[in-house]
Amino acid sequence: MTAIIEFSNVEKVFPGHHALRDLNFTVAQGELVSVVGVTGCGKSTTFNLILGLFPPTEGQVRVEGHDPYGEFDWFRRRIAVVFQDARLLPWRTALQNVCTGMKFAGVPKAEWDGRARDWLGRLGLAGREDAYPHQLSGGQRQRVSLARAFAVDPDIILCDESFSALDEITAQALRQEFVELVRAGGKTGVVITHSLSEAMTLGDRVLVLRPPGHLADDIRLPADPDAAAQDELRDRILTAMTPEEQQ
Amino acid sequence: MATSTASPPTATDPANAARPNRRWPRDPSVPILIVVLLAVWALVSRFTPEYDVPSIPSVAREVWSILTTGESLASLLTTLARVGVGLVGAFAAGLGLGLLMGARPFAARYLLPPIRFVQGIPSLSWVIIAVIWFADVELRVWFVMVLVTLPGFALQTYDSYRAVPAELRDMARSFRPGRWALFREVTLPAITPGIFTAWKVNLGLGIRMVLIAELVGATVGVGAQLLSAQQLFDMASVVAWTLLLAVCMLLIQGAVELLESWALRYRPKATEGEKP
Repeated sequence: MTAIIEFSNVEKVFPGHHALRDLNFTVAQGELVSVVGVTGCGKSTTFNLILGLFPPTEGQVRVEGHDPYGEFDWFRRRIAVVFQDARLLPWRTALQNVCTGMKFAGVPKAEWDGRARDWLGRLGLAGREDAYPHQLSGGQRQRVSLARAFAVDPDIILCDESFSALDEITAQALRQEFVELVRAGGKTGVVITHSLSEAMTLGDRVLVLRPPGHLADDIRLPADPDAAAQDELRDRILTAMTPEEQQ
Repeated sequence: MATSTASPPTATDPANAARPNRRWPRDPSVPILIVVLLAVWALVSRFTPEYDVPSIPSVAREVWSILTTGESLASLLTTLARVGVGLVGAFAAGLGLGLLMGARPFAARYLLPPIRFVQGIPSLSWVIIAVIWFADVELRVWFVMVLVTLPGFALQTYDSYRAVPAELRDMARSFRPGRWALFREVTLPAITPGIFTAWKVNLGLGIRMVLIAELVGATVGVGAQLLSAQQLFDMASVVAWTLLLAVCMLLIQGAVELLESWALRYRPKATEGEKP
């Protein structure tokens, strides 16, 4: 399969902090990949590099063959993000928030309303289009955020701990919906998470990062693992996540 | 002793729902205050000379005279126009400077110190400087108004710009928006509450400044009329002009607050819960 995201010998150094060290991985088109690791392992830096918010210090990041930092605007309508908190504009209704994402991304205006209503409906928010964010529950706000990302019809959806702030039942339901929507749309998904169980249930592969920001393991998840296989998988991820000095 | 276990009535109680929703008077404090003030005024004016505390009827006659005499009405409208033009000028310049400082830290380094310095200069000094510099009355008033109220607009805009949540900016940037879309959808709505605060503060400041500026050299305007009334020891006229100006300002403040509540209608109301 074609690699849609490619990290080659990537280093990222911030003043006084080596965030990533010789990071190499690829994500194929249509894959759903979780990036897991302990706090400070470089998950957020990896996320921001894919998003193009800053360049790598060394090495190369390529997304769809392009440099996400140097060709920032090329990625309009190609990448969308679902953040940990929904980050809805408080002065816009649910419908308007979804439309605003499309406006930012340059989707033709004639398509905004139809697409926004369609995605809000798919995510169970029909009838809540005119509600302001403060009138929605945390789960509903995150659904609007998902609708905003999917409505742009991007090639890649990035999730930055998008389900970690929700209660487990809501998070479980949203994860399930997210996976179905990614699969149905043929999108590529990258989910940054610190939750082991989320990483194990969400995607096709788990990339385990270990401080200081290098790939400790790259695990392809079995389609339907039994309990013993799940335990084995959990141990393998845990071992890979644990910093070397604590092993 | 009888005890009651009944819970306090709520809006959802059928008994309450059947009652008519009386909107007026929701808060009787304002009418009560007005009646008390008028009573005190009437009482004091009975025992003091007209040139100290004029009676209510004589002030009412003056008010009527102002409102029905073309020349007097022109004075009132001129003062209000001066306030409006001065504030709009200061707002335009202050908004521009505040946005520039917010968007460009380099500009803030060079603009903040002089703006804070100008804000620290006493308003009366600007009036005297304006009298010396400009022969034209309108220019004097406009100059004073702009210099006294511009720092408030600029600093409030700058502070509001800096307070725009970084999370919202990052969210917007992740979609790769154009500059105008980012400004229109994120920055402008985020700084709007600060802009309204600046307007409400500067309205009061503006009216005080325009009166002082009109006292020096103006022949038309409420300030000039007050000066003339003072020279004639016509206290009823002083009170009438002052009352009219205060009422006009209250009406304008009310209009600004209405506009504010429309523009910020997305905010949760006091009775509204955080979650459904």
